[in-house]
Amino acid sequence: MSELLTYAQLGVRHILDPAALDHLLFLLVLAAAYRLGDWRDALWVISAFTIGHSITLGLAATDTLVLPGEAIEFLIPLTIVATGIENLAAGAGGPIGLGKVYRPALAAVFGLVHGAGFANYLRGLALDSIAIPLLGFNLGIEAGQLVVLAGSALALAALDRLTSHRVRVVGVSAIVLVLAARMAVQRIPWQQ
Amino acid sequence: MIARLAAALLTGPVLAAHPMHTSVTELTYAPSARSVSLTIRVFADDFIAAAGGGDSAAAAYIRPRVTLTDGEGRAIVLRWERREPAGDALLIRLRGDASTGLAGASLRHTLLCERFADQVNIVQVRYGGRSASLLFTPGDAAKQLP
Repeated sequence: MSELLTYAQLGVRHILDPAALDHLLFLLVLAAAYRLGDWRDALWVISAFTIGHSITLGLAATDTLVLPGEAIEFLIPLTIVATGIENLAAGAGGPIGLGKVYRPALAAVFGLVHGAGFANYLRGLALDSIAIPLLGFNLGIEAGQLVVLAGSALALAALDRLTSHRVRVVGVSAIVLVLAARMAVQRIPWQQ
Repeated sequence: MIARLAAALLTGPVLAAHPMHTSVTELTYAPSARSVSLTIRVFADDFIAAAGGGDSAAAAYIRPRVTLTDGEGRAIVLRWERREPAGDALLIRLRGDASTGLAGASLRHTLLCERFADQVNIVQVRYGGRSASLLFTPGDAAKQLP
């Protein structure tokens, strides 16, 4: 198997790993605000997130940018909490228009945090040469992300048949928010 | 139902941080000495918990989990050379005699797979101008070297 494919496989496994609940929860809460018909808006947000995490993954994995791992692991669930709060505000009749404008920017910033988390994993492997593993790992992350988003979109569409869209947005966001908040509390750096 | 869900959300297990169950092995072949070398980089705490702290226990742990056979299916015995600390990891060095070379050889690498369902063992193979990677996860059989 080529090196690129090996690390792409590693990237897919990393994002689909149930133990990697933080990234899965972030993608779910990001998708939770949308209906299938809103795919264009969702695409902007997902693209922004992808650009964000690709930037820090590249910079941190090559040691161009050195970020404290514990702080990043703490910030990741906070990005989930913030996205959940934004969903709740929008779902409760809050500033949805504002969300539409700022959501891609927010997703890009949060992507920077998640990318640093991905980089922590890749750096942990202490590889001699990073270029091909980095490219493969990032491609794998993207592929895994698409799988998670497709699965989330179908599950959320199924929920929309059972209840109103607003109830679904609020319900899913609230559940994810609570899980992420607990995750953040467990990861507070100065407690460790 | 809502109360039960709330209780599960508030008291159920939440993973504190991303676990990382990955080892990286470099496999090289020296044609002049006809020997194969493996350097396994593994997290020290996971490895010591599985294999114990001593060299002989570690070698005994590795022996059935990292196996190499030549192109004719004969086992290439991988001898324990040494281990070195490298930050929070260990570098474990093994060496074996491969008089017939590595053409058609197969490797199996199940280190720590019995402990972690998400264990991934990456092997970077470099010999004879060839370079490739193999990826082993729990349940994987032996894989042929490129």
